[in-house]
Amino acid sequence: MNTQNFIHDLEKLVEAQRPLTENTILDEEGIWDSLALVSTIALIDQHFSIKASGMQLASCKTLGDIIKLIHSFQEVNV
Amino acid sequence: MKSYFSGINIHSISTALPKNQLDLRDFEKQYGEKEVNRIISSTGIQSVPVADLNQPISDFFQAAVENLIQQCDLEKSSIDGLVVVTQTPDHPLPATSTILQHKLGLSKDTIAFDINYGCSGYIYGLYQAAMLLSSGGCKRVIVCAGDLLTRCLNPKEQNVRMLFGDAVSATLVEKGDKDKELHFLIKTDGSGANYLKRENSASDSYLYMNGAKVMEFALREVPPIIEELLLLQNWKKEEVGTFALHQANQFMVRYLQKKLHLSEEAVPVAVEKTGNTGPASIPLMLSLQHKALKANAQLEKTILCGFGVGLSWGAVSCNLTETSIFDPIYL
Repeated sequence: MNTQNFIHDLEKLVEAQRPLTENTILDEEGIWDSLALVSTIALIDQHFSIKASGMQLASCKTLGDIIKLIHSFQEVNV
Repeated sequence: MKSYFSGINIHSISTALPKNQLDLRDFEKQYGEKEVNRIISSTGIQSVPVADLNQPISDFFQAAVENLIQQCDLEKSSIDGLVVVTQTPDHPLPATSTILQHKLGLSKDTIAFDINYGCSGYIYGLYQAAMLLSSGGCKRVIVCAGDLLTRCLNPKEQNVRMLFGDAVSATLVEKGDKDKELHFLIKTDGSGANYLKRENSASDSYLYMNGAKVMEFALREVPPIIEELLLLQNWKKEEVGTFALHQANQFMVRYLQKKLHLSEEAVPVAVEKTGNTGPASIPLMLSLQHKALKANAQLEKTILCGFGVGLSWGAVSCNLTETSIFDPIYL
């Protein structure tokens, strides 16, 4: 549920043209710039209590990359 | 660093801004309407005050202090401490506080010094005032906190150009009744010094900000320092009327408010026509919203929290119910 809500908020944040899928390249379907990146750091913290770094997020090209990043934090904490 | 003072009263607060406003819509030609809309809706900033390049910050401080003196009917001779917190002094040397002491016509018995801090600087200024007063050296200290940061911004960098505004504040701190307590927490992490930086004082050296790193820092450090201060003060979150956070932008303040599980009402935002005004942002928010905060009895248990360049962050608990807070003046 968290992930669904997160994706919904991320779609609004990047002003996605259509619903985001795992393979969506963020920069092509929306706006993936420094403002979006800073906002996404906060969004991930809000939904998952995870503090991703700007550098980690900057290397994410797709929604799938972001989800993988979130999962990598969750695995560490299990 | 933890520090507790009693018998220190935040007597009054005044602020001064440039008349000239830069409308962020003016950037539409440069960045496009859609992009400007997106930034405005995220930051909550519509326009920012911009001082003329020939206006030194001491002129703004002078106006804010004189407004305070006039409104509170103070004797200049009763002021014996002047603390200036700024990153945009009139000159690299001498200290702007010395220039201001002369402009204001304060006594030569005044101790005057500058502190080079930004968005956490208001807390540092209040802390210095509390120390000067509690040491017995001073009876009345004015803390002048503010920056004219727009002159340090690269015109080509929208991430800073559309965020920062110019403003100053003057706060009179004096000895008061024993029940006037201030509880300070101040912290430093110089490992982040490069994330907010101006390399040297040459005129072509612009402010650099790594927005993502600053965001990470604020998320990591601001909620814990506020929780720590609440614990120290033995206050419950819901008892605190106002959490006056550094007004970085609407997104940051609202995010921290949600993170701390606070109501929107308890965490005021006032950036629409000011932007991020660095060390002036906390007193400026109080100056813009004091009528509503007083009317709603929100100033008895107040927490002020600044965070930024250094990296440094600090918070203080106080009671501002009897503090005279004035509307901003424009020059």
